[in-house]
Amino acid sequence: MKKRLRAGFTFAETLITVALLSIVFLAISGGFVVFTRAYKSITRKANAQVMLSTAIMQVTDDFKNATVYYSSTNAFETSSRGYLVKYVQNSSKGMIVQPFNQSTGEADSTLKEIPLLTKKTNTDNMYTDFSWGDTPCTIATDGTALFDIKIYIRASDDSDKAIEYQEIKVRSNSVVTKY
Amino acid sequence: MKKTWMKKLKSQSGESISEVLIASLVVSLAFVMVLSLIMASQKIIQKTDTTMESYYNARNAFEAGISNSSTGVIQVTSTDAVGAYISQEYENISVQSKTIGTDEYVSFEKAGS
Repeated sequence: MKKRLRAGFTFAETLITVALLSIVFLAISGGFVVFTRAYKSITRKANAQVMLSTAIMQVTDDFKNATVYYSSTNAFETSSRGYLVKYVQNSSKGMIVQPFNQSTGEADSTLKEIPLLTKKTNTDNMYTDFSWGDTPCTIATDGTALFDIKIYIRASDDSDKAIEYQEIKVRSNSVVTKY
Repeated sequence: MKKTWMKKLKSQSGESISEVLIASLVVSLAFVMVLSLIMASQKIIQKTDTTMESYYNARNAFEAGISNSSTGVIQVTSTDAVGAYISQEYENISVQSKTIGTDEYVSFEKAGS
């Protein structure tokens, strides 16, 4: 029977192997971190684009069907909601469509406020934010109104950084009474 | 199969340089493929961003009534000229055509082209 070889690795061989393995491990882990970060960033951007488009669609629908606008409170009546509403900002839910009472200057407590986008649409720790344009509502010569609003998609886990932003101008379908 | 593996495990000879090179090549190819996938997705997202922005800017201009109207010469030709006529409404020109016979052509020629 052949005698079993008892020679092991030299210390130098072991050291070189460990050094090489460390380099390979570092390269793989570095690549994995970069890959994960890139994947997350790409997914977030894509989700933000979807959220922005959905928010714009909702806002467009509201403004297209607007009939009355109050410049003092930026509240407006729209037939797509059926009552006087005002856009307000909520840090966790994003843009909220709040039923409004112009005479009291406060939210109409008899009606329930609803978020502009549903909870399921607010994906990836992102939420909608808005600010009115320089002239929120301009009445044209034919009586229709041109609404100007800026919509942001922000990430709550990234210092509320704006991932997507778009200024939107929407002309109403019918005559709008401005107070 | 089991024998081949056992043979390989008991073998005292190392890997040849060509084997090592091919293995490195396969790993590099996989790495390049993953990288190109990330780059492609990033490009698509950026392109979508640009397209969305230009679309909404154009839509804003349209809604505000400040979009640029293109000027050009409208040329209407027909095998039977009786069937084609142009009517003008306000600042917009609308072209209407009637089908008399079998052939009718409506062509738009951009000014300066």
